[in-house]
Amino acid sequence: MLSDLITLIQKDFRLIIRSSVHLFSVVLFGVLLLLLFSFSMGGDIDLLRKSAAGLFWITVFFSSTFFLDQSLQYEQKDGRIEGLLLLGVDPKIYYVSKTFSNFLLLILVEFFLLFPLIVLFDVPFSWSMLTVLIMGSFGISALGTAYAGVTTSLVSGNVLLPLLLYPMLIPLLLAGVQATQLCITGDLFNERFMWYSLLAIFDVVFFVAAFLCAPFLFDKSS
Amino acid sequence: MSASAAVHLQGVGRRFGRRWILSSLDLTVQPGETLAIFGNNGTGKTTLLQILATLLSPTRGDITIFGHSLAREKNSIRRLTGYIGHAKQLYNHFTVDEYLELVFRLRHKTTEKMRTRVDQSLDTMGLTAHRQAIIETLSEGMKKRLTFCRLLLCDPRLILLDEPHPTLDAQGKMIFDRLMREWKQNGKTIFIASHEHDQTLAHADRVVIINEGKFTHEVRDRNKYVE
Amino acid sequence: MFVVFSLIAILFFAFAQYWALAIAPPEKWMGDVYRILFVHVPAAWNALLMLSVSFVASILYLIKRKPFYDRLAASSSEVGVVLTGLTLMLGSIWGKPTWGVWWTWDPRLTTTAILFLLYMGYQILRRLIDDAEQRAKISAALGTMIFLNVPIVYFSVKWWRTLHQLQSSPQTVAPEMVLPLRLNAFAILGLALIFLWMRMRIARLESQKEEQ
Repeated sequence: MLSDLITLIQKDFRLIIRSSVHLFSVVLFGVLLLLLFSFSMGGDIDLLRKSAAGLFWITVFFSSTFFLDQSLQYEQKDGRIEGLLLLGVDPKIYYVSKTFSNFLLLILVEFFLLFPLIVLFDVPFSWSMLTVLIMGSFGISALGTAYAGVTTSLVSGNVLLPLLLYPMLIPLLLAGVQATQLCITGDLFNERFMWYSLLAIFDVVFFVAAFLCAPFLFDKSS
Repeated sequence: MSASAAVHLQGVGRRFGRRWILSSLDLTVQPGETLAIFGNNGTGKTTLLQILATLLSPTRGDITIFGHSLAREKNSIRRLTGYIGHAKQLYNHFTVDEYLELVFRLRHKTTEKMRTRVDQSLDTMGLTAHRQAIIETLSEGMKKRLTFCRLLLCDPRLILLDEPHPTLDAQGKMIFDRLMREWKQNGKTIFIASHEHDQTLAHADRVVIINEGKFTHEVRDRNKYVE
Repeated sequence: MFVVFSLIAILFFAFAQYWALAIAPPEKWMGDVYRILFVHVPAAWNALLMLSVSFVASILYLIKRKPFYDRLAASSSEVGVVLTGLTLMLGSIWGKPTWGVWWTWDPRLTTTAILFLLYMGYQILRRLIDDAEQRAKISAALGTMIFLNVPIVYFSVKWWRTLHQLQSSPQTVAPEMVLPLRLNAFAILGLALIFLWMRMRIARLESQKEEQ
């Protein structure tokens, strides 16, 4: 089990390095979005700072659907995922490996998006922001991997993914934005721990649920 | 029901939407037997093989493979079968070596003997010279041969081949004939669905013809086979 | 059986609505406008009930694999979506004279809106998968996850609102309004069951047609 997990994650990273997922274009897309947002807000630096958290998370949402779709589409093509299952890979292990590699990818993308955020929106960097990002990204990957697994197997799947996934992620968006906002403006009453706990609950609930549902989502014969 | 049979199908049917691709199949295949499945396109050959390979579940009917029930012991069956279908299932950003090592690790959960087994399979399929090549750059025929390498590494007892001929190159076809003879000597059970009747008949012990989701003819003596 | 039940349910609905519209006294501040709550609140309760039925049916499908549970999950979620939509519409109509705006970010109303989106997505998904078994399996898995999200959505919206110091409407209900509210809850439950029964029948006929 564990050895399969490691092998699969290694495989994913080799694929990322060989650019089956166009990481660079995803990052560029995110940077472009942040730039567009600041244009559309009229360049008022106070207004930008106030809305930075919300716009940043929306950017993360958009970019993540991009590569979630790409990374699972690749597995869906040419029967690759079926090949793995026939080799004896447990669909649950497959789910964990995909979630994990998508999570690391998302963190990497966010890392590059932090620079334009700090520069364009005049946001002070804080380490607690990273905690929020990590917890939020895990939730997005846990749920997004499961949903992308379903939508990429359908004909009109790429439209469907955001349609199904975004409403599910609303609690995560609220918690992520509020917690990030508190990191930016300062958190006098330690309110952000409330949002941390919400993020933690979200992450655990959906990781466990999707883990248990993985055979139904990824294995057609289950 | 015969416990010793390699594959046993009883009343197997599969529906897609409103269409019954397979209506009701009964079949028993003994270990070591080579079964050829003929039939026009869309008659359900591929569906049948995909069901046996545990890629699809049947809508009705029971299947037993080497004594394991398909409905309940899917994982044991996956360890015993090897399948080559239309989709090549290859990671085309990997090199040939990397891909086969991935296959070996996932199948056998160990790296023991990995190198020798990979080398052997590459040698058998005539791909040793291309071991460092990225799969994407290989020709279609070589990619097909690579799927046979995967099958060799898995070393299954039941081999399911869905139209192996058309994408094989000339060298591939020669190797394929040799492999078939070897497999038969080693007592493998083989299913081949094909349009290339002559090349398949050379190996088949038994022929079934499938039409509109049913077996319409069965020929036990291959010399008597006439279209 | 079904006809008798339907008749009784519809008559009971008419009776409960009559009570709500004519017998119950007008509210002190809002006058007659508040009467819309006699449909709004029961619709919301029954929507949640139907979605819970769908949740349980989804889990049962994943365990037992009986097509019946899939049909139940599909039908009850559809009735639930209709009731959710009704709740939203009425809530919005009620909000205009009461708060002066069509929409407020009241936690319950917002949660209902998100639920509506979630289950609309579920309905779309069901229509995009051709293979009956695949559809049943995948929708059961996603249906389970969607329902698990309901409490999380509710608390996240609630915390989000309290942070912004915006009051949600205090819902103290006068005793003479409790009875018609309860009556209407059962009246709408009756209607929902009629819908569910009819939808189940359609689903059964559809799958019979597919099997031919």
